[in-house]
Amino acid sequence: MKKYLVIKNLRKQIRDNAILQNINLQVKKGEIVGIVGLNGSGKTTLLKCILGFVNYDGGIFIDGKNVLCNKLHNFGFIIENPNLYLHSSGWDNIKFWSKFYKNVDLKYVKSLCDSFNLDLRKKVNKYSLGMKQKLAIILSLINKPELLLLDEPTNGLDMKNIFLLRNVLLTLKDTTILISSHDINELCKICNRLIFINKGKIVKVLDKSSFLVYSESELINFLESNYA
Amino acid sequence: MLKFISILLTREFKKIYFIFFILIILFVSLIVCYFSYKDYSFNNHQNIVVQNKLTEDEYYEIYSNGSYNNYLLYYESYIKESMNKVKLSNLFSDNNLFCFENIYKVQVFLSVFSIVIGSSILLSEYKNGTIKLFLNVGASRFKVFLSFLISCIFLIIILNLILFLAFTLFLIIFNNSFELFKLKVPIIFNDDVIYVNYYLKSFLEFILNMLPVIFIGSFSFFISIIFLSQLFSLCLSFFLNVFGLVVFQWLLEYKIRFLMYSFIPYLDYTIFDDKLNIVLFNIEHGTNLSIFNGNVMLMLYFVIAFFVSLWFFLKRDVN
Repeated sequence: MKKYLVIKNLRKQIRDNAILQNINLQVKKGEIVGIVGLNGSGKTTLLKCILGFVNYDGGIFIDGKNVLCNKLHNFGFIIENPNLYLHSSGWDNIKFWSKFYKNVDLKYVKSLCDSFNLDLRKKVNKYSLGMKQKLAIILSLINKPELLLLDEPTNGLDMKNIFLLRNVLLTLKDTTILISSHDINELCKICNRLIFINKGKIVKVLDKSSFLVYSESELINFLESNYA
Repeated sequence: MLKFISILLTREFKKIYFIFFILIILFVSLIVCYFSYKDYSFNNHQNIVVQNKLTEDEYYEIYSNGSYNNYLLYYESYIKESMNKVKLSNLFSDNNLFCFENIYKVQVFLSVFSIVIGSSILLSEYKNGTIKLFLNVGASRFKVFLSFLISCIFLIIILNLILFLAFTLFLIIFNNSFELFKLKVPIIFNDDVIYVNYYLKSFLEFILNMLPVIFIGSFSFFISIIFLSQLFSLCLSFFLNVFGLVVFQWLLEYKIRFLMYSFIPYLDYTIFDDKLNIVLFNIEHGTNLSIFNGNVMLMLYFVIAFFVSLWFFLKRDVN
């Protein structure tokens, strides 16, 4: 299958501190890739680089186009905290962002809200962390993205909603998904591939066939490994 | 980009602070119009009598009739007959229709609103983290920056226009007539006298006075992006706007004339006597302040600040 996302020699340095070092990665279209790593290992920075939020050295190509040169992307993302207008209602948030995209299917969005059991009439500042996270997930899917980047998407979600999220992600057939999470078990259930990052380097890449073989404790050991 | 701007503007119009600004403008316009209409003193009458060399009979004739229409008609003919004798700038100083001039005093206070809008419109997106979503809607960073800047300027212009319309409306109500639109005012260029529509002239002056208001709002916008601090942006812009001219006058006393090449003395065009120059500064300190120089300086500093803040916006990591 054609490579959709190609990362070549990606490096990110803040002063003397190397956040990412020589990251090379190729992701096929429709693939779900899990990124696992300890705190401060560079997972979020990697996603931010792909989104073009931070400057970096090296190249990130989507469909053969350089990310920094071509801004016309169709991405969806959740990075760190849910980014929402707190003084607006949930529905106002959805309505506002839907104006920026073409062909937004509000029926699909509403059905997502219903399935997540999200009260859209409430103001967002009255939402719990889980509700905010659900709204952020819905917003990330509003434009039917080709590439979905999720950083800790299960933060604040209960077991039922994690299950729902998993089902939603598995139904997105043409969407390439990168998920950064500490929940290895959950990643094992939905990802085609797991990437282990430590100190800004990719230290291990496991396919679905291989990571199912390992026990959870063995997978955790990979997090602290220093070999590629 | 037009779609981007229209979405932003639609959202800003619904924001409580913008509606609050509009209500304040309407309230202040109402108060100023009411009191400036009521406020015409005997001293002003006397001044006009002296300056225009009216006889007591003429004066009595005008005021005993009590009608401003007569008053104005009288003066219009009077101007035409004795153009050389009359100091035109004071001709209408007593006419309460000309309380429209007070609009320029209110307009200066719009700088406060424009500073608040400028410092918060894009920075609030950084605070919410929603700037990430804006950078992901398919527009380049440059377009995002430009859209916010244009929206900011547009909002400032809208507030100004609301002020102008409010003044027009309230003065029509208080005067109970539409004389404001009919009036012609003479303007002298050397020996040539031209009559212009007073309302149109006021509007053009209003547009001219809007330039510093737009500048300080944009300046606040640029500073907020460069330093990513709303407090600093507000404080600096307020300081320059409120105390800038005072500080400038004080520094001029120490012959620091290069400040005339800064934008500080041009932040309030209403100080320019007869809209040509500041006589006081020119005579005492040898500086060359004028609205023309002001426009050049404001444009120059706008462009510089634009590119500096754009550079920061393009190059800075969004975390």
